Formats: sequence, C-alpha cells, structure tokens
Amino acid sequence: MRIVEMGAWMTSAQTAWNQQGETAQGDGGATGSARLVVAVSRRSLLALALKNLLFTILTIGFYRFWARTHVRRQLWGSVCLLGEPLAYTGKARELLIGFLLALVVLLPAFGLMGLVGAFVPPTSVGAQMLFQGLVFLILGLLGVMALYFARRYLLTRTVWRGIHAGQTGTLGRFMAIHIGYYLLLALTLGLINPLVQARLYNYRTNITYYGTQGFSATATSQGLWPRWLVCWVLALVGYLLFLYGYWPVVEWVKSLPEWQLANLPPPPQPTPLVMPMVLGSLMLPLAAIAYAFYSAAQITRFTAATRLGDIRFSFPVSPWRLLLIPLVAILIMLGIMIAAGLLVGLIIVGAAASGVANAAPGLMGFLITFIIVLLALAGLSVVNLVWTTVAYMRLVGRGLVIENIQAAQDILNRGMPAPRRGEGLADALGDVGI
Amino acid sequence: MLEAFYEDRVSRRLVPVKLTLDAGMLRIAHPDGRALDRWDPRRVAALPGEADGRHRFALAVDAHAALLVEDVEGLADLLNRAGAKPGKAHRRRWEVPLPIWIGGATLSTLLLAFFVLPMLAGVLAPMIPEGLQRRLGDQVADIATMLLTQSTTVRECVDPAGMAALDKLRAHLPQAGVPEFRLRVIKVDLPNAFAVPGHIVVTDGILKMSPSPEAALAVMGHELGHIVYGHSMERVMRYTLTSTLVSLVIGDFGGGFMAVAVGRMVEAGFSQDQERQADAYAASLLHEQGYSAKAMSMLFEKMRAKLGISEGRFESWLGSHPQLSERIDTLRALPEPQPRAEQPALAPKEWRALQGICATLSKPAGNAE
Repeated sequence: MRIVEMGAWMTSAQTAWNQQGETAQGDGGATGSARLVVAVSRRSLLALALKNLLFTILTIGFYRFWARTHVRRQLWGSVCLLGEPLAYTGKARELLIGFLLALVVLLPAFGLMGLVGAFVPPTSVGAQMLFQGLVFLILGLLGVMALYFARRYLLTRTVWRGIHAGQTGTLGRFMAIHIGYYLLLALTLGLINPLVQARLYNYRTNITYYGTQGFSATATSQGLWPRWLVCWVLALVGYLLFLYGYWPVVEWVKSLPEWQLANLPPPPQPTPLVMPMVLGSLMLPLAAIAYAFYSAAQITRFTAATRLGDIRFSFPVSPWRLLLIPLVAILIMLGIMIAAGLLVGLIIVGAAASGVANAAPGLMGFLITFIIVLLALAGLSVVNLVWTTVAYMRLVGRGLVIENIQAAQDILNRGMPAPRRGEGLADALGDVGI
Repeated sequence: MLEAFYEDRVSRRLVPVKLTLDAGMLRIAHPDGRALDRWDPRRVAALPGEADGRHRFALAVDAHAALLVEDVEGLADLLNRAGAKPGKAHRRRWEVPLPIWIGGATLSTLLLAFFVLPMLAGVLAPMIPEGLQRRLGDQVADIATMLLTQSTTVRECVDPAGMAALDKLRAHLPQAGVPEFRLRVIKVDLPNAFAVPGHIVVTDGILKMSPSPEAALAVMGHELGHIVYGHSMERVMRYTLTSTLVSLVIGDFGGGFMAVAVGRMVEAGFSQDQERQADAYAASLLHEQGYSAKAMSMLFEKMRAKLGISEGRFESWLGSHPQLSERIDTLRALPEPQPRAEQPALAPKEWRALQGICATLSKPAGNAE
C-alpha cells in the first residue's frame, strides 16, 4: 500500500520534473561524475508559502504540519541527480502525532521553567544570569535531542531511485558526543571550534546511510586553524570592546537594588562609552567576513573527506557567495521590518488624529498592531524559505560534484525499519531549518 | 551459513546473499563476502504471505528490505543460535485514524487548559513560600500598572493631602494577621483595582466613582480578601501554566506574541467563588468597623448603571467580576452592623483629598529592567 503510494508519487514528481526540465542541464553518467540539478521555482514556492500562511493563520497554527510537508515535497522534488528527482515521503500526520507525543515531555518542562522564571527578580543580575544559564542548558539538551530525531526523520523520508536514506546510532551516544564537544567548546570560549566541528561532522556522517551503503568521513581540523583564529580574535576583541563601553550601565543596573533598599531615588542612568562601542560594532562585519572564509574552507575540506562506498564528493565554494546569501536575506528582512514599523506608526498617528484613540483606548489599535507584527514575522519566515533556502540549494547544485556515481547502482534498501513518527520534539521547540 | 535472496521491497530487486552470524548479529553479505546489511536476529520475523507463496523475513512489516529464504528451518536454526526465540510473524498494523488523533488532542488540550492546570495551580499556589510570592508580586504589580496607565514607567499618585487620607483609610483595614502589602493609587480613568501578593493597586477612577469613603474601603477590603485567600498567587500560576500550554500547542508561529493574546482569552480572571469570598471578606471588614455593607452595593449599582454605557471594555474592573446583580443582592441581604460607627471612615475634606490624590504624580523611577 505504502510502496504503491510512494511509487505513484515519484512518478508524478518525475513528470513535474520533465515539464520544467528545460531550465536545467543534467550531466550524464559518462565520466562517472555527476552534479545535483536544482530546478526550484521561487514563484511556485512563494505561492505555496502564502497559501500555507493563510491556512496556518486560519487554523491558529495547526496547519503547520501540512504546510511543512508540502514545502518539503516541493523542495526535495526540485533536486535531481542523473535525471531522477529526490522524493520526500514524510506525511503530515506523522509530524502531528510526533508533536503531540513531544508535548507530553515539553509541557511540564516548560511550565516549570515559566514558573521558576516568574520568581527570578529582574533586578538581581546574578540570579537572572544563573536562571538564563540553566534555561540555556536545558534548551541545549532538548535541542540536541531534537536534532537526533529530526535528522533521523528527514533522512528516512528522503528517497532517491526508490532507496531510502537513514541514520543508525543511538540517542544516548548522539547526545553524549554532542554535549561533550559543545561543553568543551564553551569552556574554551569557542577556540577549538575547527576540531569540534570535524569530530562532530565525522560522527554524524558515519551514522548516516543511503540504503545498504553507509557514509563515512575522515575530516580533520588541519588547515582550518589560521582562518578560524582570525575570526575568533576579531569576534572576541569586538565583544570585549562592546562590553567595556557598556560596563557603566551594567554597574548602574547592579546598584539599583541598593538604592531601592535605602529608599533613595537612583542616580540617572550613565551614558555608555561611545568610542569602544562603535569600534566593537565595527569588528562585527569583519568577523562575519572572516567566518565566511573559514566556513568555505570547512565545507570544501569536510566534503572532500566524505565517502559513500566508492562514491566521492567535492564542493569548492566561494566565501563571498556564502556571505552574500545571508546579507541579502538580512536586507530583505530589514525592509519588511521597516515597512511594518511605518505601517504601525501610521495607524497610531491616524488614530490619534481622528480622536478614536481617546474614545476606545487601545483595543482596536492593539489588534491592528498585533496583526501587522504577526504578518511581518510570517514575512520573515517566507523570506527564509523563498530566498535563503533556495539560494543555498542552488549553491550546492552549482558546486557539489559527485564522483563515481555509478557505484550507486549496487546499493539496495536497508532492512532497518524507519521510525513511524515525526520529529515532534524539533517541531515543538521551533524550526530546525526546513 | 545459509543461502538466501535479499529483496529490495521498493524496486523488487533480488540479490543472492549468504547469511552468517557475526557478534550476535545476522550478517548479510554478497556471495563474494562484501557486507550488505546487519540485522538484529531478535527482531527478525516472517512477513505476511504474498501471491508468489515464497517465505519472506524482515525486521518490520513496513521495512524496505526482506530476506527470501527457501530453507526456513535453516534460518530458524541460525536465529536460534543467536539466542533469538522463534518470533511471531509480523502483522499488518492498524493505524489510528487521523480524526481520532486530532479529536483526542483537542479534548486533552481543553481538559488541561480548563481543569487540570487550574487545579494544579490551586494545589501548588499555597506551597510557594511567602518571600517568593512577594517578589513575584513586585514584578506583576509594576507590569500591570504600566499596562493600565499605558506607559513605560511606573508612576503613582502622591498628593500629600491625599496620601494622608489614604493612610487614614488604610488604618481601617486589619493591621495584623494579614500578609504585608503596599497600597497605591494610580491615575487611570477606568474604575479598576487589582491585588497581587504584597500589593493592592487602586485607580483614581474607582475612587471618584465611589459614593462614600466606606465604598472605597470596601474595594480595598475586597482586594485584600483576594490576597488573604491566596487567590492572586493561584491566578498568576494558572496564567503562567496556561500560556505555556497555548504557546506550545499553537507552535512557534508568531513567537510568544500569540500565546499572550490567546492566554489572556483563556484566563478569565478570578472565579465566581473567589469573588464571592472576597466580597464576604470586605463586608465583614466593614461590619467590624461599624459600616454597612450597603456602601459596597451602592458602588456596584453605580458601576452597573455605568456599565450600560461602556459595555464591552474588557479592561473594566467588572470584566472579570461575573454576575454583578447577584452580588449586589447578596450584599443588600446582609444585616446592618449593630453598633453603627459614629464617624464616617473619612471626613468630607479628607475624602475629597483622597479622590484628588492624583493631582501630584511620583517621579518615574529609572528605567530599570
């Protein structure tokens, strides 16, 4: 039953692919190397995103499982290898059921955090930091857990030529390795990032399989250190400068409870030091550029260290392209935010001018502002999909070369059954990408 | 060693394989020895029969690969040696239909929001130590004040003559046996008042509407009643729990923004029982001082009359106070106090000063976060 459905779906994806195939240039398997052909249409994706947004609002959020499934189907189906599209075989009901089960774990945890948070006085800097740290830790634990389930779900629902990908390995080991390395990273203030990234990449790749063939990776941090150190120093100096400039304000906030206890009016808020803060802020774009150079090198080296049996990969990527994609996304999002802000401002001014504000305080204005902010936030997620995701997919399509692809012919489906439920936890915690 | 075929259930491709045991696992390899797959022998079981009548074994009924075995006994023997008991055949699973999932989820969410969480709040609230309750109250009081005054700073009414009158009125409230609290007036036209642990906040709107100082005293007594019975703590807990539920159920869409809005709708303020309790507390307070509970019912009647005009304002004090007429009747039915007080709670001049307490506002405290 399931197989028949899937076959039918794949045929329709194939037809869809053939219809829009003229925009793409697929490589044959003659030389044994191949590229992913990404033929994703931004226009149809935008239409889908808007339809999803409408239904999600109408169902106060419940449609999001169906929305996500439709988007994934379209994204997967727009990627072809040797003329055959990837297929996403996940179902919305799996996401819904997984989410409901995750709620059973999350509701008590979040309820407790909410209650404890309500008791932490905002004026006590120490208690606030302790609480924030604790929340961060719990969210980190849940996040790693969510990553495991999300990866497993997405891989087992990814099919090419009828063969399913997947993930082996246990949750306990996955969490132990990730949390161990992340703690190490935190203790060294991020200094050993290349090492941690390489080790985690190897672990995650080695538990990933495509049918009966497992992926393997032997990435090292070699050659990444100079680029990482430049990025790390720039970020650290920028942060320290910024903190130094803001320090008088921190001191002032810390002293507030004492004034309150003494029943005296507190002194006026001191102005932060401008020069260090400006200098610190200037470090940010520099650090971002350095990070793009580091990322590009990491992607290229890690990909080259990856194997799928006899199949090899290479992915040369330009750091400027890596930088350009998020930069454009930020500019579009800023535009949306400014437009929404202007609209809210206009409504408030308009209401004040017509005297409505005095007659019926707040409610109407609140409702309109609420809707505009909601739509602006939704706009950001649409940009994320239609611009950023598509741009990254095209980048992979342009750059990634798969060598010895003919070795894929020997691969069959694996006997390990796929999990029946969706990645619920990740969904409940927020989006994990797509 | 056993010979078999490995079947890809999707493509139906068949590959000859050799089965062996390797470290307790069933090793499936090509005839030339290259490994193909490894199965946990304890999970291997027969699949439901198919048209071709061949015996198939797999790890689950919906697995994407199966083993086609001629020598069924040989396989059973192999699995036995790995310590696996001969398992029952895999059965097709019955999947719970989607409407049942959605219905169950909706039902349990509603149960949680309207029964379980309020009950939980009622049980948990008295367990919170008083020091913590006060801290929480400090925060909520400031936030609620900012919401009501629609401003980003906390400013209260501090006209000196009015403050003196407020102190005098406060002296009528019980001084011992109740939790400590701060009493404040804020400048808001709407008749409103609220209580959180350690704080009673009254708007000058309700003072101006009160027909007598005893009515104002009753308002404060009513709010004190909420504090004494621990209603406000329960309410804060219920609110926190409910908004957590709502934000999780409707998802990250729109962030916590939507959660607050929906949480407000679900959260209906104090329950009717709690209101009656607070009313009774205020009435007995008035009686102890020798004042009639009618002072309170007169204020309610005035509000009911006004409510006719300004109906639909959910910020109104009355918004969360159900069945006003019933409460007026209850108060009217109470007996008059026996030795009536000789003096009103405040002299006329003091009463006017209290009603004008918002002539002077306190300087905003620094923008402490």
